[in-house]
This record gives sequence, structure tokens and C-alpha cells, in this order.
Amino acid sequence: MATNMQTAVSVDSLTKSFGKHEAVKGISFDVAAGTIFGFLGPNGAGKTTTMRMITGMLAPTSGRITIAGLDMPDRRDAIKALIGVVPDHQNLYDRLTARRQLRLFADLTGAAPARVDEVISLVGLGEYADIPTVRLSRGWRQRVLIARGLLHHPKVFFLDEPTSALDPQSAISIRGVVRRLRDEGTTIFLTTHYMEEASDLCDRIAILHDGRIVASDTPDNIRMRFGRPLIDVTLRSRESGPDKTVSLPIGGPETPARISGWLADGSVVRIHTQEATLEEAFLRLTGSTWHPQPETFDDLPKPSQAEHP
Amino acid sequence: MNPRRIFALFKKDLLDASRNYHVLLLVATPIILSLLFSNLFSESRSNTMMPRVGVLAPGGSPLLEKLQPKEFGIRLVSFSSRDEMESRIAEGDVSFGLVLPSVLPQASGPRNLPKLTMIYPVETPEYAVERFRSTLEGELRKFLGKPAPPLPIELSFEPIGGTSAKQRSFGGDMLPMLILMAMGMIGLLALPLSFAEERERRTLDALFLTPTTTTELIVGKCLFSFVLQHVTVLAMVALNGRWDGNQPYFWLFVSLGSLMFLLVGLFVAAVAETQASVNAMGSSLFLCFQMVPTLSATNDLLRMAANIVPSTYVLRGIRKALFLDLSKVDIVGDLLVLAAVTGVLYLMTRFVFRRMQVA
Repeated sequence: MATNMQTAVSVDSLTKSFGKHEAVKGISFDVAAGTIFGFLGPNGAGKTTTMRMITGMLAPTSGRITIAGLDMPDRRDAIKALIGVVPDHQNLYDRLTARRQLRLFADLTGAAPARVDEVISLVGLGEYADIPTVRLSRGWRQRVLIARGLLHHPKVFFLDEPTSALDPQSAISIRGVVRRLRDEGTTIFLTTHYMEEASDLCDRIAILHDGRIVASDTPDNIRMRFGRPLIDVTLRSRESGPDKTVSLPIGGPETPARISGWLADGSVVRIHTQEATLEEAFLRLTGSTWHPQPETFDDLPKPSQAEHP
Repeated sequence: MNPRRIFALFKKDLLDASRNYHVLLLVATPIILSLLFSNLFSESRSNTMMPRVGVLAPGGSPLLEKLQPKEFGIRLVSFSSRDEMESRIAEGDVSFGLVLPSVLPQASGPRNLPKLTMIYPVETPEYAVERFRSTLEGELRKFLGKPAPPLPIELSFEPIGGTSAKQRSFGGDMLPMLILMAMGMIGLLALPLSFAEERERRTLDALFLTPTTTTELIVGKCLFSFVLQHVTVLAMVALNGRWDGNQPYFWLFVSLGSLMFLLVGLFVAAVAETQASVNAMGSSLFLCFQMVPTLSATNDLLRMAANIVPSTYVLRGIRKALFLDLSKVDIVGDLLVLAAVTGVLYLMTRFVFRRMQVA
């Protein structure tokens, strides 16, 4: 099978409409082989819809998708053998153990039985592999999903919000697995709305907003182009409450005057500078009023010490 | 189709079902009920009602016009041959049969007594036969103007029907109905529920990301349900010790009936997207498929409706195969109707699923 693995995924003028609502509005991008590509956007931006179209789960309204040089959906069966998918929904057979499920999918994908033990070891499932998945925590279930997606040695691995609603330890562990896969040559297509994760993991990112790609570059370039460095000023409380931190943009028109005023009245506890963040760039690109919609209570952001002006 | 993938899906459903108390309940209910009925009602008798009585009057009989069905609390059904009437009695469609004499008694004396034969199923309780006999005798005396004995007509009583009376006990009569129930519950509820659960949990997405085709998925799931239906029926037959009757015909009806229920279940699976809608739709269909043939003997409307309900032919076939002398009843006709209905259902299901795949 002749495949072009220089460009692992190529999307051209892709659209998807649900009735009158156009969820994806003519997006185009390429994912280089052996890299981690981050697909960012707020909930409802069209990330999952795009991923479902690329993986053949949803028919596009128009546009062209190729994976390793093969056209989707014409070569869907050949593409299935090349891709692994971790969906945003934990679609496991709850009553079965992880090992049983992995054996099932090994049979369905034609993977060797020994591969089951390999992927269990790869994601660190250990003794949890023999417990019905309904009794596993969200983080362990996510590992089962990753193991399932890796059974047939996919060349391109799609992960939809893989660390959403996970505890920090599980999230770090899963990011470690993703990095290791990239290092072994697997192309990773990652959708997320966690800026820190994208910044930390991705070689390139595309930011999707309202069905359109508003930026596509390396995380550093996007941060530099669209982000703003900040000055964090911690102010002493005038009453008996805790100190308060205020973040001001460097070069902002009101920044010098406000800092001078606080210095003059002696309320400054400390000042330090903060580099432009991807989150800042994201907010500017997608509209400053946007905040990620939490999917679960676990997903709610922790109260921030910082206050943006 | 890839047999390895089909077997993998079969194995998955088997393991999953063995941990799913919904499926276990669906399987256990008819088995437990069959044991309960066998043990609690093995000595009791049914068929005390006599709603339909067959009449055979070769060459016409003056008695036919004189019998007053309303006073008997019966309705008469005319037959042209004794074989046909016996067959309908054996099938339970007609309660009794009367072979009327072609001539009335003459004044010449007892040597030329005309004969009236009453045919009844062997399992009919004696008191019911006696009651009918005395009522019939009273009517004849009234008509012939002979209030005192002797009766100028010879009354003869001939039991016909099943292989043994024991088999037609009330508990035994329930078994075919419970077998139908087991096949229906698995076909109309368990199968579509398993599709709906996969859809709701989105595990279907995961399956379709593998090389598995829709056909393989359907065959794998149907194969599991088909085996489950047979294992359940086998358990019911074994636990109730019903190894007599015509076993090849019995299992042929069980297999065809199971297939018919699975095909209807696939329709439910195609239409009902959630487990809640499967419960609503599957239960309604199940009741229809179960109640109409079971109660068809009680009402003319149900009797007519039963002819267009495919499960009627399954129930009839199972009853005949288990309890009746197949040389006296027609079982092939039921088999052919069931096979034809199953074939049509198969073609319809294929058409619907192809349309869905294209969509």
C-alpha cells in the first residue's frame, strides 16, 4: 500500500452542516508525520465534529480529507488500519475487564494476542487490567481507552480531550504516554481546551473558533504573535482580608500610572513579570469574553489568585 | 464476512450478558415459570369450557336442524370429513365433535338404532364428558318425544388426540406458551436492548473504528441471541422432562420461531434508538406476539387476528410437536407459513438495514 507519511493528515476546505447550522466552515490544515498536532478551541467550536469527520465516523458536507495519502471515505477500510482513536466519551463495556475488552478489540483488529499485554504495560494498567471497568476511576478508564486505540500499532493516533476531568496525576501520566508515542514515530492529533497541555505537548497547534481556524502555528509563535506579557502586582489588603494580585499588560496605556499610584500609597507587596501565555493568545483570538464551559464539576477551574484587568 | 470477528462479537456478548442481570432475568423468568406451572398444576385439568362443537352429518341429518346450540351454550362448526374434525379437535380448535346419524330412529324397534358418536380429546375431564352427555341426551329425548328410557339412539363416546393424557395437563399446556415467551423475550427485548445499549454508550463507534462491518455485527449479535434462545428452551424442556413428542419438529419450530423473533427484534433495534424506546416498543410487540395466539381460543376476533400474527404458527407447531399425534394433525402447513413469514421478514430486514447504511 503506497502511503504518504510525510503529511500524516491533510484537510482541505472541510465543512459540516447540521440542518441550517454550519458547525465547520471550510477549514484546511496539514499534520506532519511524527508530530503532535493540537486542535484547540472552546466547547462547541467544532473540534470533535472535525475529528469525527477525519476518522470516518461522520460524513463531511464538503471538502477533502486524506490520511497518509489515502482519501477518506473512499479508502476508509485501509485508513481504519492506520488510525487509533480515543474519543471524548469513555465508551467502554463496563461489565467486562480491561483485559477482556482489549482481547475483543485485538480479535477485531487482527492484532496478536501478545499485544494485549504490551499495551497494558505501555499505559501502566497493571493489576487494574483484571477489574471490570465500571469499577475503575476516570483516569484508569482513560488508560484503557488509550490501550485500546494502540492495539493495532496505529500510525496516526487521535485523542479527543484525553485529560478532560482527570486528576493531575492521571493527566501527567497520560501526557507522558502521548510523548512516548510521538518519540516512537506515531503522529498524534490531540484536541483539547487546556492551553497548558497544548503548550506543553504540541509541536503545532490550530485554534478553532466558531467552526473556523483562527490561527495555526507552533505554540511559541502563537504566544509571541497573539499573547501579551503581563506584570503581576500583589497588593496589601486595606482591611484584614488576604493580599490581592492584579495582572496588567506590559505596555498597556494605564499600566505605568496604576503601578505608580500603588507604589506611592505603599500598598505594593511584590511585583513580577509574566511571559505571554497561550491562554492569553487564545483569549484574544477567540474573544476575550470566552471561558471554557466545564463539562463536569471536576472540570471547573480552581479559583484564581490572579485578576485580569 | 469474517468468522473470527463474528465469533469475537459473539464471545463478547456472551461474557457481557453473563454479567448483565437484565438478560439473566429475561432468561430465568420463563424457566422458573415453567417449573412452577409444572409442579403446581400438574394434576389439574382445563378445557371445561365447550365453546365450539364440531358436527359431521354425512348426507345431512335431521338432527342437525333440531340441535339447539344456544341451549347447550355451544356453537356448531360443520365438517365434511371425520379426519378433518378429529384433526381440529386434536389441535384444540374445536372442543368436541358429533357424528350425527343420517336417519332418525324408526318405530320398528331397538335392532336398527341409529348411532350418534361423540368424539372428545382424551384429556377432557370425565365430569365434562358426563355433563355434555346428559345435556345431549335430554335434548334428544325432548326432540324425539321419549322422556323415559330407553333412548332410541345409540350414544357412543370416543376419546381421541394426544399421546397421553398426562402431557395435556394444565402445567403441560403452559409449556409451549412459556417457550414462546422465552423466545420472544430474547428476540424482541434482549437483542434490541443490546443494540440500544451499544448506541447509548457509544461502544458502536469503537466497534466501527475496527474493520468490523455492520453485517458482522448483526450476525454476531443474532448468533448469540439465537444460541441463548435455544439454551433457554433446552433448559425448560430438560427441567420439565418433556423429551417425548416429535423432537425434530419441535426443534425445527423452535429454530424458525427464534429466527422470526430475532428478525422482528432487528426491526425494533433499527427504529428504537434508546433502551427506553426499546422497552416501550419491544414490550408492546412482545405482548401482542404472546397474548394473541395464547388467547385465540377464547374469542372469534382474536382467533382471526391470530392468523396474521406469526407467533401463532410457532405456538401451534410446538403444541402439535410436543403433544399431538402428527398423523392426525397438519403440522407441515404451520411450518410452511412460518418459513414463508420468516423469509419475508429476512428480506424486509435486509432492505431496511441497507437503506440505513446508505443513509
